[in-house]
Amino acid sequence: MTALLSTETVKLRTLPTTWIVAALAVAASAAIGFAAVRISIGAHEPLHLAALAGTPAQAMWFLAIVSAVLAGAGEFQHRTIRTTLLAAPRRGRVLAAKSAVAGAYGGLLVLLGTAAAVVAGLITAAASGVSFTGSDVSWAHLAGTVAVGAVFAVLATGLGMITRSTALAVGAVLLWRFVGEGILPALLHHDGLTRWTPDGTAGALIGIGDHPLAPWAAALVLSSYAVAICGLAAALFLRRDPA
Amino acid sequence: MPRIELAHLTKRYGAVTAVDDLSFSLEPGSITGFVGANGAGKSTTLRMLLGLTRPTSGTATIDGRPYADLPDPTRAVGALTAPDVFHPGRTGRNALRVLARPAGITDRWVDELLELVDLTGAARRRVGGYSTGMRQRLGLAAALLGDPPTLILDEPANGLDPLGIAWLRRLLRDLADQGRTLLVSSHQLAELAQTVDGLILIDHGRLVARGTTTDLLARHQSASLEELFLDLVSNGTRP
Repeated sequence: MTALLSTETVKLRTLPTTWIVAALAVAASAAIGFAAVRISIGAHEPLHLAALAGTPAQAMWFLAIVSAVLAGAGEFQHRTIRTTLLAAPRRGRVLAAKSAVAGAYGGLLVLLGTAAAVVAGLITAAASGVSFTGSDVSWAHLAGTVAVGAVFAVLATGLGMITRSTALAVGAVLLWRFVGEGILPALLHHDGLTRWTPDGTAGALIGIGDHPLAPWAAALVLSSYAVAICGLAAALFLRRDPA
Repeated sequence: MPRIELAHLTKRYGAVTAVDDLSFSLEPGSITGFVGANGAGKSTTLRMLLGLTRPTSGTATIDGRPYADLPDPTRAVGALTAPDVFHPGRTGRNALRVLARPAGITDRWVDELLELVDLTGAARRRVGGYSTGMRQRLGLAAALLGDPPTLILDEPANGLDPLGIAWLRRLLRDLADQGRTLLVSSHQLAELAQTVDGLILIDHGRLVARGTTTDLLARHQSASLEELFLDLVSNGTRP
């Protein structure tokens, strides 16, 4: 398993996309941090470090998802799955290693993004002659943000392996995020349902949302989604042959 | 024990039978040509042998085990399935390093193989910029990564120019002379005739003929492999 984890890490490191996404994460987060501080200064609102640290979370989660989809579905799209399985024919292990490395990369992207937003925000505030009123960082929320990025990446790897198409997998994520999450509670006439969706549970882990689940429950539910999707991906990967 | 053994191997896709009760075995130290018309079931057979496609029934083993059960597959079998199995964004060298990692193969050996297939100069270029012939050479280097005793090559001459084909012929002969077992599928019958020791001819997924090239030509009173092929597989109709 160690060799497979090392292989998946080398795969990730040797693709330009990995570095481009990481650079994009830093640049986008810095821009978000800068904008958040400028908006707060313009609105004469107090600046809180904890709030600043959480600003790039959604964007970083999305980047973590896209990277993981590329790692999973990309194997089929570029037909590298054949050589992958020739070198490591045990499919379950390949999926496990791929998910673990994508999860680690997803968490790292979130961490990088958070750091970039905080640094950019601090520099912007200092340049504007404004100081932060709240300098406490919620380490629990920070850990939650990183963990959600990692779990979303694991989930997206599974989705990529199921769909075997990057466009289909990213399309499904966007459809769910912007349509499914919104209309499902309305369709089922159950407003409390939003607490249980992936977005709702992610919000609970970073301290946002109305009546969120307890963090431990949110972590459990979110992890269950990842386990279910990866379980389905494993079942299909074991049954369906690569093209 | 035979290096490669197929026993009653069958693959059906719905109503279509791609490989039909195919059985044969190969002993060490020979190059065997695997011949058939388009759609005869060659690639499906090779993919089943390599664990990439699940058989409907029957078994395909290498050194007595299914591919997935080989303890160190890269060192047991080298395979070339198609030239377009490398990520276009990765360099040639990194494409091999990725495959070398699970078997613990060193970067130095990767570099030696790149030299063997004449890709040292292009090793740090992205595979997306390679010609078909270069990708085919990279695929051959990937097949040789584990210095395996068995090689399974699907259309290895595809995309190679005449110089490349001559180089491939010498390479295959050298590999067989080292005692390795080679199973080589090809459409290029004239080229194959100069390279292989024995032939396995399939049609509609079934074994049609098997033997050494000389014996088969004599038995069917054919002047060339092409004539033999046309005689046995006439317009897709099995004799």
